[in-house]
Amino acid sequence: MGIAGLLLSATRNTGVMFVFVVLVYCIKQYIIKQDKNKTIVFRVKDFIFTNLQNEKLVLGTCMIPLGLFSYMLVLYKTLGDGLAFVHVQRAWGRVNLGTWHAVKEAVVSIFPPDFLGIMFIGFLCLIIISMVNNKTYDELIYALIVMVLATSSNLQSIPRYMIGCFVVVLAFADEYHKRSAITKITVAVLVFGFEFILMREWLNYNLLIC
Amino acid sequence: MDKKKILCYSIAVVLILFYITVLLISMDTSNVSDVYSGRYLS
Repeated sequence: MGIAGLLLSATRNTGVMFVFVVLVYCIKQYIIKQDKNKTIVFRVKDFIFTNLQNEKLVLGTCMIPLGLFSYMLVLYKTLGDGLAFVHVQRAWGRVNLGTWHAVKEAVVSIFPPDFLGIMFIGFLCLIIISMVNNKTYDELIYALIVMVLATSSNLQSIPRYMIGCFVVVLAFADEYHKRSAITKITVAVLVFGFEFILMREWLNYNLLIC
Repeated sequence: MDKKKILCYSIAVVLILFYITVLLISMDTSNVSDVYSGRYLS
C-alpha cells in the first residue's frame, strides 16, 4: 500500500490524496467492527489508538506523500521554489475561484449550459449513485477529491482527470452491467456522442480538453 | 515491542520530519518572484 501510494504521489500531485482513501477505509472497517454501546468520544479515541498500533498501516500511510515531497525537494534544489507546480499556474492565466464558481459559470450563468458543466454533473451523479449502491466510499472519495481539485479554476480538466482517475471508470462499469438492455444501448449511444465531441475537440486542436 | 515494530515507527517519524522540513523550506518564497519573472512568465 505504501509503495503504491508513493508511486501515485510521485507520478501525479493529486495522488497524495490517496491518504484519504486509507483514512476512509480504516473508518469503514472500524464502523463494521465497533461496539455500538460505546460513546462517540470513546470510539474516536479507540479508533486512533487501534490504528496507531498497526505499524504497517502507520508506515504505509506515512510513505504515501514521499513521492510528492521528493518532487518538491527537487523543485527547491533546481528552481528555489518547492511549490513551483502551484505557482506556475499563473503562467496559464488560471485563478482558483473554487469548484462552485466554475460550475455556476458553466451551467447556471449561460444557456445552453457548457458541455463540460453537464459532464461534471454527470460524473458527480455517477459517483454519488455508485457510492450509495455499492458502499465503496473509500474508492470514490478519491474521485470526489480529484474532481474538486481539478475544477478549482475551470472545468477544462474534467474529462482527462475523470477518465485518468480510474475509479470513475470502475464506478461506471459497476453501474452499467446492472442495467437493462435498453438502458445499456442508450448509455452506449451517449458515450459514443461524448467520444465524438472529444474527437472533434481533438481535431480542432483543443488539446486541453482532450 | 519487537525490532520490526520499532523500525517501522522510526521510519515513519523520519518521513514525517522530512515532510515538515520540505514544507518549511518550500514556504520560503523570498526568491520566487525572480524565478517566475525570469523563467515562466517572460
